[in-house]
Amino acid sequence: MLSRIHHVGIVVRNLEQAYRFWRDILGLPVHKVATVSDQGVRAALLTVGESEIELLEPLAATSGIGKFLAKRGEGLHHICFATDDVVAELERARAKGIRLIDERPRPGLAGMICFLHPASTHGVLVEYAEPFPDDHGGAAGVGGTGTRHP
Amino acid sequence: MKTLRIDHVTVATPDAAAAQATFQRHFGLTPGPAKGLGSSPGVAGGALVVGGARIAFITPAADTALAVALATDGEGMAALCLGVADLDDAVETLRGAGVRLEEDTCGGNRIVQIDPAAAHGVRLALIERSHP
Repeated sequence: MLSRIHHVGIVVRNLEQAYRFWRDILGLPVHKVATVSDQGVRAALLTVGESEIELLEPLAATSGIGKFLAKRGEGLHHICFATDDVVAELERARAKGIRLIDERPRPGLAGMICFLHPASTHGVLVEYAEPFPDDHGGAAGVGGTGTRHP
Repeated sequence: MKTLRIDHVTVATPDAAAAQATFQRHFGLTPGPAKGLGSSPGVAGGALVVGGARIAFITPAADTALAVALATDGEGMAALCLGVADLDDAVETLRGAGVRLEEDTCGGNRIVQIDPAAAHGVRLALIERSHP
């Protein structure tokens, strides 16, 4: 079952500039930062209560996030629901006929993740995430370089 | 500023009731009270609860910022609202940082709407709830 909003993803031009608002003014602590090379992004998770804000900076204009930024500008990108079983949740989505982007879960910044196609969800890009057991253990497994902040 | 949680996410859509029904069916989320969600006029389709947050569905009234967003970007996630511990403190911090904002009320709660240019394109509101 989907237990909570894991994070809301926001596309930004530059992480450091974005920190000035989201971290320094709103006071949200940076929990995890990683470069996810195969997705062409540098991403940061900032904690807000039981959820997080994920800031996404494209590394290349040709990446999915880079194209989003060019077309729509900075702004809201996706919503991610937390689950304790992403494999089962993805199967449930498939059985309901929801169009999928990922046919199987893959490692991401938030854990084992998958995306559903917004065509099935009124234009909302939805992600499921099963956090890694040591969720506070950095970005191990995402194929990037993770750093943690207190 | 002490920012406590994601209060709600707003989905703008031409058919709020249909969008809510889709999310309920797809994700098994439970309907919750829609009172006090957002301040944009329009036809509210209600809200669904997920953890301590809600997803609100709205068909925005003509000539509102959300209506413009709906026309420009199509239906989808259109606004984010975060809960704060002390709205006066939040306003002071934001004004001190030169952030433009509008104070408003919503369902009996005070909110501030933040200039999207300051919030990296996000239509962002802050709310202090007397009963979280």
